[in-house]
Amino acid sequence: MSFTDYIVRRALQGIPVLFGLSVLIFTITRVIPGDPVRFALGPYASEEQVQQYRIELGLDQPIHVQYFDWLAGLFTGHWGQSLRTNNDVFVDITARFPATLELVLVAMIIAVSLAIPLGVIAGTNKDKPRDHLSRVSAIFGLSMPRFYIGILLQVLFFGWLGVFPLSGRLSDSVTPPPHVTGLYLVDSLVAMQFGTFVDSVWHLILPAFALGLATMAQVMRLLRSDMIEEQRKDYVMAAESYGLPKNLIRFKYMLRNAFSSSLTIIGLAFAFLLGNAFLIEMVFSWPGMARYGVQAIVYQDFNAVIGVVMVIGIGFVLVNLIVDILYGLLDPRVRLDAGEN
Amino acid sequence: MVRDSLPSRRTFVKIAGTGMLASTAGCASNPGSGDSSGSASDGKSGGSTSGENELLHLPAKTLTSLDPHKVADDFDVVTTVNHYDGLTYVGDDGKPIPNLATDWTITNEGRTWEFTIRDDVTTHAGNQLSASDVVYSAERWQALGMGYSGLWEGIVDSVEAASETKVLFHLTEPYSQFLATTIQFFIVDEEDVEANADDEWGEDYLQNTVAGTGPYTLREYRPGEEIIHDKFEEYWGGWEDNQFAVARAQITLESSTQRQMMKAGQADISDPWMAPSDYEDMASSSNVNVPGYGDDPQIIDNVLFCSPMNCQKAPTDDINVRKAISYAFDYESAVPILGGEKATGPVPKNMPGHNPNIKPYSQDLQKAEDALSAAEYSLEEINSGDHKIVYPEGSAGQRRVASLIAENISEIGIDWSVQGVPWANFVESTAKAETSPTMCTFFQSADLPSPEAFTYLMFHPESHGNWLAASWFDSDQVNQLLAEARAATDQETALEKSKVAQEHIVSGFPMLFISYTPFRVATNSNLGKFTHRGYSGFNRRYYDFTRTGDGRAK
Repeated sequence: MSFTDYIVRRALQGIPVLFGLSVLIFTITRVIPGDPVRFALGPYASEEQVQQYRIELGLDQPIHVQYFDWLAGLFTGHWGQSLRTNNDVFVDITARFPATLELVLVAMIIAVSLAIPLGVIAGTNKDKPRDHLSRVSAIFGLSMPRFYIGILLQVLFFGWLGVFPLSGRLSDSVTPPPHVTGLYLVDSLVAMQFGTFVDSVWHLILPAFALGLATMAQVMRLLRSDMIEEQRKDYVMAAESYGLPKNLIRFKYMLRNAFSSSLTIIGLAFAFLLGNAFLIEMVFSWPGMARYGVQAIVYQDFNAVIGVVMVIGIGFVLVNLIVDILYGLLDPRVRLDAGEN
Repeated sequence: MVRDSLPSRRTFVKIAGTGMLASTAGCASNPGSGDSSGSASDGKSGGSTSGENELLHLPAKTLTSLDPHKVADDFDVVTTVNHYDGLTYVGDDGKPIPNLATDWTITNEGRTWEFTIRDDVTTHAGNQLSASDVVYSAERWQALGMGYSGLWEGIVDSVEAASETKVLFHLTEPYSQFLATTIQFFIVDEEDVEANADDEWGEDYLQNTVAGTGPYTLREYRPGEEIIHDKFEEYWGGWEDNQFAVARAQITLESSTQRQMMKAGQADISDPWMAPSDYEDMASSSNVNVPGYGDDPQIIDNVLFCSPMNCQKAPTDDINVRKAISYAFDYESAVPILGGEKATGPVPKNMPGHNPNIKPYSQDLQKAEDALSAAEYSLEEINSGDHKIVYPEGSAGQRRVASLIAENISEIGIDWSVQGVPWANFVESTAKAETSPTMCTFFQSADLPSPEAFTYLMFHPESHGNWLAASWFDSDQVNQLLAEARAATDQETALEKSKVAQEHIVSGFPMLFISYTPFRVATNSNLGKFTHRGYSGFNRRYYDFTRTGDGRAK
C-alpha cells in the first residue's frame, strides 16, 4: 500500500464518523425540550400559525423522515431553514465560515511561529532564566480565559495606546475585497488591494493573538519537554562532537524529531478553535461561524446547530487527515510504514 | 517512490515561510499608508469616514430578516422602520400619527376602515406608491403568517383598493385597536417585488434586499456583521442638513466592546438591552448621555416586569394563596434591582389606557398571614410538590428578584425554590396550564400603542398557550370587559373599558406587578433630537436623529 492509499484509507474512515455525528446531533436537537417555533414566531402568533410553520419546517413528520430529508439536502446545499435568520443554514454558514477560518488560521500561525522558537529555547536551556520565563508565560497563556485576554488586549492596545482597532474585520473606510474565498487576506491579494490586506491583518492581530495564546503555551510546553528528551540522545552528542553549529542541531535535527507530538496538538487545537472561537468573536465583533453557532444554541435554532456541528466535525476529520500527511512529510518512518503495510 | 509524489520538505518550508513573511510584512506596515480610501487608522473613530454625516449604531442582536413582513424582534423593527413606511407611525406622545396614510375614517359600525394614501410617495425603485401596494402588502403579510401578522389573524377579512389613493380594510368584527396595529404593518413596492420575485410572494428577494419607501435604502447587508443604509434622496418626508446621510448598524454582541466604543466617541447609539452597570460605566464618560444618569432625566419605558402565578394549578389556583404571596413580597426592595418605578397594574404608566387610579399591592405580612389562613390549602399542601419560581436563564436581575420572592414568601412559611430555565424551554412549558410554572418572572414590552399587549394578550383565555399569558387567568368579568373594549367603535370607550378591566385584573391577584422599567440607551452627546417613542425599535429610526456639533463628541 502506497502512502497515497494510506491517506485515502484514512479519509474514508472519516465517513462513518461524520455519519454517526449527524445522527447523534440531529436526534439531540429534535428531542431536547423547548419550543423554538413558537419562540421564533413571537407572542402574537396564533396557534394555527404556529402549527402551519411546524408543517412548513417538516416538524410534523416522523424523526427518521426528517433525518433523511435533511441528509438529502446536505448534498444539494439545502441544510434546512434557520429559525433565527430565515435563511438556509448553508447560506448562513458559507457567509460566516471564512471569517472564522481566517481568524483561526492566523491564530494558529501566530501560536506556532511563537511556540516553536520559545519551546526550543526553553527545552535547550532547562532550568535557566529563559526556561523559567517561558514557563511563567505558558502558565499565563493557559490559565487566562481567552475572552479575558481579548478584553485586556482591547483595553491596552485600543483604549490606552490606540494602536490597534477595537473590533470588526476591516475599518469602516475600507471596502471588503471582491469575494473569492471569503478570506479577506487572500481575496485582497487576489484583487491586488494591498491596503485592504494590511487593514485586514491589522484587525486580525489582537483577536488572533488572544485566540492563539493558549495553543501557543500548550505547544511550547510540549515542545520543551520533547526537546529535553531529544537532548539526551546520542545523535545530539555526536553532532555536537562533530562541531556542528548549535542552532543547526536544534532546529534541523532535534526539532524535527521532537515535533511529532506537537503536531498532533496543533491539529486538534485547530479544529477545536473552529468551534470555540465564539467568545473571541463576541468580544471583537467578529462575524464568524462560532458566534452564529452559539446564538443558534441559545435560540434553539436546531437546523443551524446541526449545520455548525457538522462543519466543525468535518473540520476535525480534515485536520486529522492533514496531520497524517504532515507526519509523513516530517517523519520518513511513517511513509515507510505505510508503504510496507 | 512514495517520496516522489510529495513536495519536498524544502518546498514545504519555503511555502510556509512565504506565507508567514507576508503576514509579518502586513503587521509591520502602517495600515493608514495602504491604498484604501480614507484614514484607516481613524476608520472607526470619526463621525464620518467619507466626508458624509454618518451615524453608527451598535445593536447587540443579529437581524432576523430584512423582510418587513417577518419582523419579529426589536432590531428587526429598527431596520424595518428605516427601510419601510407604515400607514401610521408613532408620534412624540406615543400615539399613532399619519404616515403613508394622511387620514382615515371608520364606517359600517367599526367594520370598515378607509385610509387615504399620500399621492407623493416614490418607492426606492422609482415607482409611484398606490393603494394596490397597500393591498398587496396586507395580503402578503397575512399569507406569510410571520412576525406581527398574528395581530390581524381572524380580524382582517379583506382589503381592497377603492381608488389609487383609497384603501378599504374590511374587518370581521369591530376592533378598536386596529389603528394601533397599523404601525407594525409595512408597505412594500408591489411592482418591484413582482418584477424580481422567484416565488409567490418574493420571499427570497426581500430576504436580502429592500423594496420600500422609507428614509433609507440598503447599501450593504453583511449578515451577522453590518448593515449600511444610505439616505433616500427622494424620501417624501424631505431632509434637513444635519440628518444622517449614512447610517451603519454594526452588530456588537459584547458589552465591553460597546462600552469602549461609546466612551471613545466611535459610536452614536448603544444597544438598549445592556446591564445597568454597563450604562453606569458609559454615563461616567462626558461624551455619553444615558437617561437617568447625570443631568439626563430618567425615562420610564412601556415595559412591565412581573411575576405571574399559575391560576389553574394548585396551590396558586386559590386566590388566597396568590393574595398571600402578593402581600408577602417586598416591592420596595425589588424595584431598585431592575430600576424604574413600582408598577401599579398591568399597563405601564406612559401607555394609552393606563389606569392611574389602581392601588398597587404593597408588602403587608399581616395581610399575607390572614390570606394564607383563609386559603383552601394548608401550608403543608402548599409546600408539597415541586413548586418553582422560574426565571429566564442568564438574567442576573431576574434571578435576584426570583430569589427575593422565595425569601419573602418563606417569611410566611411558603418554601419554594428558584430555577433558571432556557427561554425556549420556558416558552414550551407555558403552552399548557399543567406544565406552566407555579410562578415565573419576565418582562413584557409594548410593540403597539395599545393597552391590549398588557391586558388581552396576558389575561384573556384566547391568549392562553402564549407565554405572556403564563398566569392562565380566566375571569368572566375581565373577559367581558376586554371583549367590549375590543369591539368599541371609538377609542375613548375602548380605553375606559380597558381601565375597568385592569382594576378587576389587579383584584384577581394573577401576578406580582413589580415595576415599570426604565428606558436606557447610551447616545453620543453630539447626537441630537432623540425621542423616546416607547415601542421597541421605533426609538431608533435613524431619520429621527441629527448631528449636533462637529462629528461625534470624544
